[in-house]
Amino acid sequence: MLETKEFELNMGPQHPSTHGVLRLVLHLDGETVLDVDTVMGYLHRGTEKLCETRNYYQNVPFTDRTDYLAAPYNNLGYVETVEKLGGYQVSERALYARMAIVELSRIASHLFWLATHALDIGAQTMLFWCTREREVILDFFEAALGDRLTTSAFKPGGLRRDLPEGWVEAVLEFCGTFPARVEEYETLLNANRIWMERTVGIGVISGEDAIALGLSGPMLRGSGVDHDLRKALPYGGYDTVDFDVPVYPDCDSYSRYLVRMEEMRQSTRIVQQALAKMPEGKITGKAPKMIKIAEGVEAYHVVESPRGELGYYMIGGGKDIPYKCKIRAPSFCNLQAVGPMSKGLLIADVVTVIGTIDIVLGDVDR
Amino acid sequence: MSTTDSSAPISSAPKKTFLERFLLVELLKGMWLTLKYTFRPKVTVQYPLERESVHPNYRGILRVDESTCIGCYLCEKICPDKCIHLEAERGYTKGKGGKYATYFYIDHARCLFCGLCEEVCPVDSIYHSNEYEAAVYNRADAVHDLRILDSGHDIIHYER
Ligand code: SF4
Ligand code: SF4
Repeated sequence: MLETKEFELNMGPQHPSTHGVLRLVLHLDGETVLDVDTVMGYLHRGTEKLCETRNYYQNVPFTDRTDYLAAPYNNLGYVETVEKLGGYQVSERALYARMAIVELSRIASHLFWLATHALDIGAQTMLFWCTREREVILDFFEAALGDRLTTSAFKPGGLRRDLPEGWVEAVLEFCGTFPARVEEYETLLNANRIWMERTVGIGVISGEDAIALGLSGPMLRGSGVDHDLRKALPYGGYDTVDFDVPVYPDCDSYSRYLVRMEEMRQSTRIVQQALAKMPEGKITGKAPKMIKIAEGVEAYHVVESPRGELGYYMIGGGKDIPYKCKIRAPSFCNLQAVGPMSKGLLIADVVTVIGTIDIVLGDVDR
Repeated sequence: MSTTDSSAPISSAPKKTFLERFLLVELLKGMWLTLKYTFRPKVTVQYPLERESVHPNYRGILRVDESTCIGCYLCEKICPDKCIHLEAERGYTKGKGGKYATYFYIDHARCLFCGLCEEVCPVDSIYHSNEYEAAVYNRADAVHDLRILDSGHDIIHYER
């Protein structure tokens, strides 16, 4: 027998399918992956430290830049933590407007996940179709929030400005046509044999392991664990709307795909209900112009972002700047699974594994 | 939180009969769907030649109305990136009392386009225009002084 040696191969940091600047060191035996080391930090901008030097209003734009594919969700996590710290009330209108906006951002994020994940595996049509729908959502953000990607949508107490005229009707019209689009994606992918070959049984992680690794979001629900913070710890009015949490027990990439497809439909339902419930009234909220939180007052708040459990832990600093702002980023925790999930697979499947985790490197490195 | 029994493999993937596999039914269905799209109108915009208009709420490149600015420094203070710099002087020129800005520049290369400065300005002097083409050949050009902020910067439009 020939003596073979373990081979180390660098994947990234400039690799198109790592979705940003992530470096993976693959330990290979032939083409089989034995182990994966992740090297992170290429996109580190020191957001948490920056937050300690800016006041509570100035920090909102920084939170956009962590998970830039679902910026409104990061804004929501941050402003709800500040509201918890200061005990500020949110008006009913702002509450439901926020809910509709963040659920739209969940759809946009899942759409982009589907586009890039399918593209990595070889289905190019999805990229064009998904970005077409995402474009409509980004247009809504542009009109209501002022920007398309880095929205800086909310401020403690409510929204920055009222929704423009005709916005609600336009969103409801989109929600009416969107489920048919999801069906179209499913026609292309669900039974497609290439898609199934590349995802069924690839990237398996059991429910117990997923919990032990601290995974969250679709990663957990694709492994048969029924856990959604919108149901488990309702925040932002989620206990008043009716929606289902999809859970699939196969633990593989295909079942995580099914989870996200169903979540898009459920999010559409939430948007419709939220906009129907949204009353007239003031949207800008009652928080003071200069927020001051007493020293040592602390709060931890979690929201279910498209990627999983997004937490903000903040301590008041006495003056108008926080003493500490720690971000519990879902992508960072989910990325740990890349090693256990790709053991024994081929190099090409590592691309599937990275795609199925749905990482955003801005969120990983902060 | 509950975990399902992972010992019983239940596959959510669709089961196919032999005939379905043999005749490539799912492939033909997908191709039929994409074929239908070939005859629908295009949704893409040929960017440098065609331009979409942006919503009036869009936060584009910053402009300052020189005649109304009262030099209050509020925008400089709120800016999270410290990219606004201004000096104000007391005087009665320009047909108004109180202060006016003598020197004002915004570094658009650092700007977050967050809109906080627009929000705090008491006289709505600083505002986001709808202009979004901010690309420049060198960094110094991204710094706009009061003259550019007041009258807008030059955009070199692409022509065929
Ligand atoms: S938009 Fe934001 S970052 Fe830009 S100048 Fe205004 S306050 Fe500063
Ligand atoms: S906040 Fe408005 S008025 Fe005050 S210095 Fe800035 S631009 Fe001028």
